[in-house]
Amino acid sequence: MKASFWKTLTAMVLAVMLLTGGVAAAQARFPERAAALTDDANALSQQMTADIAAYAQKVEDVTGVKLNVVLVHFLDGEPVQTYADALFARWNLGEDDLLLLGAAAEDTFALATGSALGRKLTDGNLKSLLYSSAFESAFQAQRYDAAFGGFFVAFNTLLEKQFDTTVALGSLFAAYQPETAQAGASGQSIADSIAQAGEQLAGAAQEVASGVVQATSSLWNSTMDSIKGNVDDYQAYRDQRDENRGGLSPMGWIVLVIIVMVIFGQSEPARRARRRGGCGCGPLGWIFGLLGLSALFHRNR
Amino acid sequence: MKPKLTIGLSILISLVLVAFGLVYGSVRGYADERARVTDLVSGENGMTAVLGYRASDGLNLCVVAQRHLPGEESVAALRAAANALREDETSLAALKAKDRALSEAFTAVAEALRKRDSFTQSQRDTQYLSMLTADFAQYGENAIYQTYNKAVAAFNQKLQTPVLGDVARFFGVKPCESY
Repeated sequence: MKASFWKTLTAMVLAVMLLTGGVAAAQARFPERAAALTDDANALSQQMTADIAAYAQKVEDVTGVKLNVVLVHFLDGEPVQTYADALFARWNLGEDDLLLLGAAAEDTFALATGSALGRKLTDGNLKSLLYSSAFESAFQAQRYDAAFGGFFVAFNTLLEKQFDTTVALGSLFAAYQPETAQAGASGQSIADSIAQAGEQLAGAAQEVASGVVQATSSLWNSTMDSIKGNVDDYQAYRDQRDENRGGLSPMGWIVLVIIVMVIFGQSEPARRARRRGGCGCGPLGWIFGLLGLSALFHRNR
Repeated sequence: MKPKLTIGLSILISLVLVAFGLVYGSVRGYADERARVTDLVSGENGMTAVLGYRASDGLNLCVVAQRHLPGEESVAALRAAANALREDETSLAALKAKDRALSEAFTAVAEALRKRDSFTQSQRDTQYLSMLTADFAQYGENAIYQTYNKAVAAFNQKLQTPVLGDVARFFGVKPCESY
């Protein structure tokens, strides 16, 4: 209960900092949410990407828990837990959300959970899972598929236990499931499982061989585009303003003339002129009378 | 009972209204334009943000450098320069000086890294350095600085316009500081 209070307070403070542009938070770049997996570091294989997406859907269907996996290159100088909590608040994640953040270039990671999920799974359980599932060692060795595959297999066991339910992994994370559980739970032929596991291991081997993630960031590119957009907006404003440089707009002139005429229309000579000018029921006479122009005509009579 | 105005009073009221419109419109126009110019600095994705992202790149480089240059002064200097740039600063001249210091520290660390065998043998960190250097340079050469300086020059010149500019300055519209 106490922990939940502090967590809520932290989230609120972070949200306020984000809204008011706190010095540190405002200068970190945060990715936009892209479904269950946001891989800005391009670190995961296609197979792992598909597995995480399918698993997140399955978990949400069975338990209501929403998984969010994020991979970025860097944390822009923020401590990893601060970044994860800020991202949790920024994405408006809820009570049943779990955010697993990894910073590929920094070899660091963190978890952030909603209050309801935190009570059910407990932060201690989740954090120890990161180490017992060998997530930490694999992540720091840049074997990202192995890190996430191993983590989600172990996470599934914890989830099933705490929610007292079954979430069948089937062929998901096949290479990282214990062999017996894999064959039993999936119900598929062992040959299929072995083939799929082989594919994932080949992917992992390729990943280790390259030793690097793709050094591009759509997050950084989109930030740059936003700045360019800001500059373009200002240019458009300048161009628009230059076009209207003639001083008062036509409508402005019309309003100004009407105001001046209404004032003159209230003057005594104008009133006298209106009185002498008949009923003023003709359309032009009425307008002239209202505006006091008839005073000019009558003056010349 | 409608008020009866003499021609003279009508002319006077008209003149007062026109004068008020001119003063109000002029001050408001200048103030709005100034707000648009300062938005280029402190608004969303403005110049302050751009400088902040350069500081972020500096701090990110510290992470990479820490793996190859642990405990080196150049890395500590880069971290200090990046953190200094992130602090609130009211003067653009001070911000520019801090950015220049960051740029020098960034270059020094990048050069030190390139001389380290452990770094040149790490394909991963070599890529990260290229990525960070490119990003850092892009923010440094961003069009926003030029756009801002042009906007400041145009605004300040406009603020010198006789009568209207004088009125705006009299009512508290200040010139902008260029970067």
